[in-house]
Amino acid sequence: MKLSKQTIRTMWVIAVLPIFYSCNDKALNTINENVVSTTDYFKTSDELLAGTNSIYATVRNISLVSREWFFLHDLRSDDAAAGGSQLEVPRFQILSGNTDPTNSVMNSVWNGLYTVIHRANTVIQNGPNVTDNTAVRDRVVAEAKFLRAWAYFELVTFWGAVPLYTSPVKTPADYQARADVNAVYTLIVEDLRQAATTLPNKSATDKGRATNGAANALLGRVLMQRNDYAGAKEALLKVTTSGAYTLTDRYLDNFEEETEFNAESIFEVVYVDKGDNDFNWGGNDTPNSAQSTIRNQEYNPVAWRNLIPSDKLLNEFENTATGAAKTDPRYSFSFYQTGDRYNNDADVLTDADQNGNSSTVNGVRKKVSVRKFMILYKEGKAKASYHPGGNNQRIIRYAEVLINLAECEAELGNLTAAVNYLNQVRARKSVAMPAYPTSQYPTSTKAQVIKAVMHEKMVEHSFECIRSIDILRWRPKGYFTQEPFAYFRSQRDELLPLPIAELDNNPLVSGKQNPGY
Amino acid sequence: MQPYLPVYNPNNLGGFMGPQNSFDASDPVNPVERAFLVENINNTTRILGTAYLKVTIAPWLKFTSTYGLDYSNVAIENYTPIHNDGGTSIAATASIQNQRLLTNTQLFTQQLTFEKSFEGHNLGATFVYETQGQNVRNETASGTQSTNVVRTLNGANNVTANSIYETNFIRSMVGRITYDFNERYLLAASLRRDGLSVFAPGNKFENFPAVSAGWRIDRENFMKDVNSISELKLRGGYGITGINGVLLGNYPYLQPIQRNQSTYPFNGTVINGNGSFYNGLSNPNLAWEKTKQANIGLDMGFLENRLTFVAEYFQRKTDNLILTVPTPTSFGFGGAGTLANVAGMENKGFEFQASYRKTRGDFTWNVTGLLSVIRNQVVRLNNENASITAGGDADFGGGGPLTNTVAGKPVQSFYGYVVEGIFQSEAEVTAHAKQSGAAAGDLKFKDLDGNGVINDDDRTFIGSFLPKFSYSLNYGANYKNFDFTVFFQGVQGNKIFNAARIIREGMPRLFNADVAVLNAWTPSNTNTDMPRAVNGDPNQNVRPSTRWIEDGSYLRFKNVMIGYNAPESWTKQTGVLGISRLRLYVSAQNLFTVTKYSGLDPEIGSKMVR
Repeated sequence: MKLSKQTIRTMWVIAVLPIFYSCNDKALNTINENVVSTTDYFKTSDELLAGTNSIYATVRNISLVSREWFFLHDLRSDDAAAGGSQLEVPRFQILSGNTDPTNSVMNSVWNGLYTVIHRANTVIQNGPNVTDNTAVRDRVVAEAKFLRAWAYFELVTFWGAVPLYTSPVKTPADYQARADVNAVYTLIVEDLRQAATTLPNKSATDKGRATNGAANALLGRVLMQRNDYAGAKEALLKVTTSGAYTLTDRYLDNFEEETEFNAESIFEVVYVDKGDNDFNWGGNDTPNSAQSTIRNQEYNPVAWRNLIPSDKLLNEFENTATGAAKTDPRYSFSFYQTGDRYNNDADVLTDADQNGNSSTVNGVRKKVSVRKFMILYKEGKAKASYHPGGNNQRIIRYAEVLINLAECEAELGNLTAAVNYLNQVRARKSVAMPAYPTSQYPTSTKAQVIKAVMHEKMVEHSFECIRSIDILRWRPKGYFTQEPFAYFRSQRDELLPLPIAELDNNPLVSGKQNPGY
Repeated sequence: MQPYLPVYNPNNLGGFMGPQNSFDASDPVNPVERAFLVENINNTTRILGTAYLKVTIAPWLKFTSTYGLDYSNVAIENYTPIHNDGGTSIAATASIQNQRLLTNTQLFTQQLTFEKSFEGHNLGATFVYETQGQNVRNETASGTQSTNVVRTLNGANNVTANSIYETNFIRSMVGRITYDFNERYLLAASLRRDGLSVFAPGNKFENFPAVSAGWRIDRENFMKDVNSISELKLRGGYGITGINGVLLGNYPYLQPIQRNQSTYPFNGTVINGNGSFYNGLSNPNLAWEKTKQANIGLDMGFLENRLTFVAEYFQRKTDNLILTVPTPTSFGFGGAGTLANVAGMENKGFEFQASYRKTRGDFTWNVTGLLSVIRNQVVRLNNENASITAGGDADFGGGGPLTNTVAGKPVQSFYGYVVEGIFQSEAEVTAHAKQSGAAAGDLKFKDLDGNGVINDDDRTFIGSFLPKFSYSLNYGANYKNFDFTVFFQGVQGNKIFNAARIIREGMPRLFNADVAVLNAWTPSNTNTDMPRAVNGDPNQNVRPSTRWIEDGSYLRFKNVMIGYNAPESWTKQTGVLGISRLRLYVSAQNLFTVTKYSGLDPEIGSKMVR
């Protein structure tokens, strides 16, 4: 068939016309069919639970408990010294008092804590809209409040007056100025009180979730920091009277993988070893990323050995060589030194295994390294050198509650009660140190009991990220005969500088740096 | 990696040798192992096609319909075998990752063209209706094998799979009218209406008008007797343009929930994805970015256009520039910013071009010189006193931002401290403004605000990556069957932040130091600009400062080519070989570069995204 030009023309126009009409505005309203938008989520208890789980995931991440958080605490305490020149620059700068607002370790912790707060605020804000399972809803909102309180307490400890966000940010201009320190503490205490009344007991939850015991123990910590010893005592007594917790006979159970979630553990951050050497270095949230902690690499005597115990810490332990009735067994539970056995007692640690600096313990030069949370106890050198592992980081354990009660009683003038609490800790089966008073630690005055409390806390809880908080409480009271930081400058080194990214991007914080920086 | 370690070790599974000692040497990797152990196969199939139909409805009215297709299928296979280099790189299982990326773009264009001339008046009009749709499907699957024999996912462990499907759609309508009178007076006007799916609902459509005019002065009667001027044209225009919004992503205004994207192993058991969160803000107002552009130009030709000059001045102003506005870290998004139409930016400048062509005889040649001067300035940001800092990296300068963008300065100017020299004694440290951690041998930073303390308020703008001007010179010549071209190119007045030097000279770690650090300051080696070597860098000598800023100006002999074209009389005789054209040439690129920049190449882009 031969078509005329005119016919072809007509046919073409007919063919084209539908294209004009089919392409109306609807084609432009593309839908992202891969995701759910923020307005369509957190409507059910399952979704709210997922929201709370993501807060824990941030706590667990590299910016916080699996790396930078324990570094920041240890570097801001007198527990730690540099393992050697392998300690990275920003870490050494904190340790030597040269922190500046660009410090990457400090910035990571700040970012991580505020991510916890954003995610917690999201759950807390959306909670009232969820009605399908109020029991789960109330529990996960209470967990979010516990974690928000933990994050704000960390922030106020390191930086003082920080921006206070109590609901998720809605627009790019929802800036918050630095809140008064009292306002930050008010929110922390409020959150913890609510969490304590709502959260279940330890046995009733998934292992790793916050409990009322965890909320009360943390509340005790927080109120002590506010000098509210009566309030702290009240909260801490709820932990001891609950009957849910006891000291483990074996001190090392608190730092080993097989004895996670033991009777002494009140709150711990959970890690899993997938049998490889992977660690989530990027810190991105991905469903199947590594869930290990790098602590076993950072401090391990045969691996990087970035931080080691300070001489001050090592010499704090009671020793027969310096006149004590008994050498404190917690010394060898807390540290590895040359000649110690590891790898299920199959290997002996040598000087050559331990890179870097030596320590002086009671006048003797030797190589000493951190033992707590290392999994070297069951691994050979070759594996331990590169194996992050899945040992849970214990955040709060029962021994701390007892020592904190001792401090509260001492501050409230009940010296006998205080000494009794301390002696419970010393009577642990594997420790069995002579009860106070001892010749080195008499307990007839408040000052003497406080000295015993400070000693007991340091040797019981070294490298557990508690000392840095204690220093802030004890320094203004004049309890230290010698300032813990050699570099300390008053009106500066009490706090860290606010991160540069916050100063640069939050106009309400810009120009309001902490003093001295 | 430490230079004394061997690359290979046949006793190790996989045959490579990794860093052995954990003493600061375990961070580097064996680069040869990285390159050869992991297999990465990328297969791409691409189909490009265009079909069109032209209909001459009348001599003055033509219709064209075009259909275009761009289809690609990319298959990527990654394979890492079971290996153990005795160091950090240990894999007990082989890992396999497969990815398939299907991209399909379809274009429909309908164009109607009108052209009519009468008594010296030339009138033209064009109407275009165009749609372009793209869809992308991305499928990934990965898993592990406990043997190096099986190299596919058949029977694999830990198999995970994912698929993503995204689309975007553009619809445009363009009307354009041109008119000239005796090619002496030229006028053009156009209006374009674009709709783009990637912008927020309600903001998908935008109008883009433009007008231009030209005056061929040489065609005026009063110029008839001026024979030396062969062309003289004055032209100018004004218009509004948009940007390709697809570059922002397919759904940039939307902040999605990261559903089940995070994990927490309650009870100490492995779980894959039990946490949901979101990490930023939606922007329901994200709209087209519009740039107003005005230009005026003069084209001149002399000696029958053998000698030509072009001069142009232009000004481009964007009022609603789309920027990633960084959120304060206290928002809890990890610093992830939000895309928003917040900024104003202006570019203005001159361009000059001069060329001469010798066209007669066996030996012909031409030379063209180009000079362009552009000035960039950010006019406005999201709020008053706002600044957008970027580029901070713990390994490159300790984490402080490398650039800052504020109103009144060129975009992304380098930002940092000003180095005044090296402290030669403790007395100099004491006499200077209080600089935490400083000792003799450390860098002395300038107290810009004069408050007696060196802190972040003493950072300032220390240069821009944008050149003051850029230029090029092109020379081409032909002699019979030989041709010859050279091309020179250069920029002047730009700065480069030489971040690689921070690793080589900053002395942060015990590896990868440059020999330059041997000249570090010591009490007996004081005449140096290399600060002292000290553990932990207490003075933060590595911080972003003028220390790392270098002059990026360069003149580069970019290209030279000598060619020979076989004469047609020869190619005609190639018979069955059927060679129609034969050309032999040699060329060389980047023969030499004149620059003060100490890095590898001054023609450098931005910092690598790690």
